[in-house]
Amino acid sequence: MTKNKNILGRGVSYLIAAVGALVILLPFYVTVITAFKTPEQSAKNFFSFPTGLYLDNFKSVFEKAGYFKYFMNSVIVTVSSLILIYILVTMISYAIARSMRRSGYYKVIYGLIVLGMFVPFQVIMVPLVQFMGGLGLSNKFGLILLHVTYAAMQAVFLLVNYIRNVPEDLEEAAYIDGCTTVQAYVKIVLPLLKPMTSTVLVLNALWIWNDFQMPLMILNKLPETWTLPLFQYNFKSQYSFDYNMAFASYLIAMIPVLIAYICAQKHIVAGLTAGAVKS
Amino acid sequence: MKMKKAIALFMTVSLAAGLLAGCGGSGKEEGKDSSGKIELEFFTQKREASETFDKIIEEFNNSQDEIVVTQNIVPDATSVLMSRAATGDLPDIIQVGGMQDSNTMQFMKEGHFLELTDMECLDNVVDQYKDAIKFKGKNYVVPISANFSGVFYNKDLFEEAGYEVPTTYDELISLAKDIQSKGETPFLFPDKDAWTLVQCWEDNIDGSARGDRKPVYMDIANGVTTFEDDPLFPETLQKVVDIRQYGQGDSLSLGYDQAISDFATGKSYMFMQGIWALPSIKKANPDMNIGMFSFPSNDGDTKVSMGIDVNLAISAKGENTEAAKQFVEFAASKDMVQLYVDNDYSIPCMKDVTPNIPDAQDIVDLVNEGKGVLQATALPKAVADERQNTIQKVIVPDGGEDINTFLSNLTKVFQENKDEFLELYGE
Amino acid sequence: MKKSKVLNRNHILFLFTLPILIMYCVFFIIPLLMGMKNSFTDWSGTSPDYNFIGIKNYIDIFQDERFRNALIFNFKYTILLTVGTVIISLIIAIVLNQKIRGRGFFRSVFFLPAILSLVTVGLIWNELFYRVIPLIGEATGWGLFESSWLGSPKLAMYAILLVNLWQGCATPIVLLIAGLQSVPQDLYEAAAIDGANAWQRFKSITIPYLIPVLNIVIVTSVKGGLTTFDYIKAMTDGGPMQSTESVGILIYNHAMQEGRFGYSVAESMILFLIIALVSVVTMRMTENKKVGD
Repeated sequence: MTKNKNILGRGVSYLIAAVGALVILLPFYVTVITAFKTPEQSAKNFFSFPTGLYLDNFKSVFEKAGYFKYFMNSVIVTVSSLILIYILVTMISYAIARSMRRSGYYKVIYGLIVLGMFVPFQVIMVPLVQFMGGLGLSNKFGLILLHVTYAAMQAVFLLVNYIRNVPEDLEEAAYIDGCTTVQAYVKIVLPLLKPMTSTVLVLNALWIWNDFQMPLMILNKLPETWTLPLFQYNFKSQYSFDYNMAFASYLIAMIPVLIAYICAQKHIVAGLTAGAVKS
Repeated sequence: MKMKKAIALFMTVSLAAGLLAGCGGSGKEEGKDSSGKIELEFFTQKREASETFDKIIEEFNNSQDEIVVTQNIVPDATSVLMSRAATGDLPDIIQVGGMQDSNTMQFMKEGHFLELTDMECLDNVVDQYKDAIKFKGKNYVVPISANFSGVFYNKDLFEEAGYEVPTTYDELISLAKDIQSKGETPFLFPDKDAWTLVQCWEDNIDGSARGDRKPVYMDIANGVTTFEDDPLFPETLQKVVDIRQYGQGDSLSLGYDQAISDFATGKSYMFMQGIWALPSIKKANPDMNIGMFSFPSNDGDTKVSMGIDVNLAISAKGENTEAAKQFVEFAASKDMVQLYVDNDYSIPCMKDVTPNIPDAQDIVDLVNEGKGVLQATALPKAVADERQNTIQKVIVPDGGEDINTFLSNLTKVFQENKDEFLELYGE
Repeated sequence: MKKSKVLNRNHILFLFTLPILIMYCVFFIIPLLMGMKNSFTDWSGTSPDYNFIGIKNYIDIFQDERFRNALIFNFKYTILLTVGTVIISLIIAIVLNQKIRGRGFFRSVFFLPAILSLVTVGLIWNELFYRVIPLIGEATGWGLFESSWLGSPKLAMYAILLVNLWQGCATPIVLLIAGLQSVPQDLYEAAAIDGANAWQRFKSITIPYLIPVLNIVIVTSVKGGLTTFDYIKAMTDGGPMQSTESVGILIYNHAMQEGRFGYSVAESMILFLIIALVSVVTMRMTENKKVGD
């Protein structure tokens, strides 16, 4: 009796997993096959597998736009932002978590920074663009600073809550051994925070790599500094009547993240969950 | 007590940061590159023309060695331009739409464009456009080319079926019925993009029957008539609704880009659009045989509704306005305008340049006969926005709005904003 | 001696806060205050001058039918999104937590959508809705699939919701799987011996362990629903007939296309208050559950 039920449950599980996977994969399938077809082939049968290896769509995408330049820009912006987030956001979160019970200052800045999570981007968009222009920061460097600032809101929230649950004993032991605050922080605290910092970094890597609105507003004057999503959206609107070519450009924009995901899948998933579940 | 201190400290930090921010200017002198050449940014909103502009810019950069122009074409151009106007950082040279475009008018009215009245190239503008491009008696834009609306048709499909180009509205309808009775699609309507629906009404159907819209707008502003009492508006809007039964079915699902790719692959006989769609159609299917006619009116006395498509303007706040003027003079020279219209299939705004649009020769002939009417009057922005936001309601069968409600709502918004209109156009 | 060390530590902790705090003030607080000022003006966004009009914008918004409709859209959308995300991810997480064959493969597949940009996802689905739905309709003859859902004022919201769920469930699934793994197995065994059925075990063992994760999932989807912008921008741009005009889209249109910048900032201030309020309420609600258990 229980065994039958079990088999039935198994069956349902497989069914759900299979149907779900199909729904997830269908758009990817369509993107890939469409990118390899001519408009005529697509018009005849949208779902069919491409008959030959038609590469002209990709050739045109590469010819018409400096793909590698944009790819490198995205890499530079994402990596630099992540490094700064790792160093600076962890620092402030640690200071807040350890001192907020003691001093009102930390309570106030914590409240203010977390409040930022709820402000719609549109409120500050125009003043921000104005401001960045005035500072001479309408460039990649400015974009990196913005990404770090806006990442800080959620990251401080997650990290502070995490650090508060990390016991202070180890740090105190380190002080007794003669460590300075900075030494204790680097040697003892940072390693303890690894689960949550990796969650924060993975979340922000995905956000920064794919962000569209902020680069558009900050970098629109300097096309040579554009990131991949800008290139892709621009390409799409220029050649959208040729949707095979448009799909080729989607595919090309996807490939770097797909490769990164396939290579580092374990770390990404582990990083994402490590902090979230234990906090 | 501690709290107070904290808040005070926080304020100090904010203030200090603000001061710091205020002091930090940019070190590099703007607008000059490393070799001392003047750099100009040319902002384009019309994607179909970006490759043509590149050719013109290349010629200009090679023709002298003091100025370097670069084209900048961005996604979501309207909002980027708005945000740059808001921050006082408009590009040196901007390609904008015609005087019928509310956005262009807003920029002109708010003083974002440099006055260009004394530019030489303006003397060469086709006489009938000269007045239409003035704003309160002065010039702020240099027109390059004009476009027109009409109905594209698939010549091969027409020939196979033995169809003639219709000359009256009734002929068009019976043609559409015939196509439909064979189980095929007469028209594609990309009504998902509301602007195409507006254009279908005001330019394709209303414009080709009425001609210039300025008199009726004046009358509405002065309270002499209303949208719903005008003899033409309700009729032409009704045609917009009626003709949709000969479309591809649920028209609100189809977007402009998709419609172009569908028309280019032979999914319909006809496609109501403007000439600007031609480069895209040809790119989607270079072998296609295309023709174009102006939407026929009831009595066959059809006009061609035209608008200035490409205007060049210079930012009033630019640092190198003289260099920018030099580029505009160059781009508006005969050779360059010829180069432009040859590639873009549009009607030149300069004298001694010939339009070269074999696919729309019938319409070009009509224009040469003097049947072309240049639309140069913009609705108040609020009216244009309201129309674009709500016009889809008119064509849905259920849950929508009837024509009269829609038109009287437009009248209402127009009345609320009539001062803005009369200030610009009133004598 | 000891006192000076403590002082020293406090100084260093204070210094630790400075870089982010200064950046936060420069790049966030100052623009925010500048923006808020605009909500009391009639600035078009591009005009050289403007007038202070007090709280007129705020008064107008409360009488604005378009804003009210956008708000209703947002609430409907948020509720459906949150409920949908929780139910779907929970089901899939439970399935993938069982010892089924190909579990590793399925897990990688379900996370796949999370790595794509919202804009790419929107553009691809846009094409799918237009090209694929009618094909299904032809094959099955069902009226629902006659034409793209994005073109129907009644269905467009659900179409967008579907795409949002397609991508939005990826991270919650991963989080929930990890949450499920943190439940000690012996608790289930003990409960089974006590005669608890599957539903009882789920309710009184699984759910309490999942509360922290569910808390994150719910707060993120509520915020995502209330500020929804990118999917709509890429798929319907608020249409057809403004049926998918969310507050985010409305604010953007007013600010960037319709030349009503001051008004749009006032709208976003109201949205900000609503989001803050709703988030606090949802956090409290899930928090209470955890305590009450």
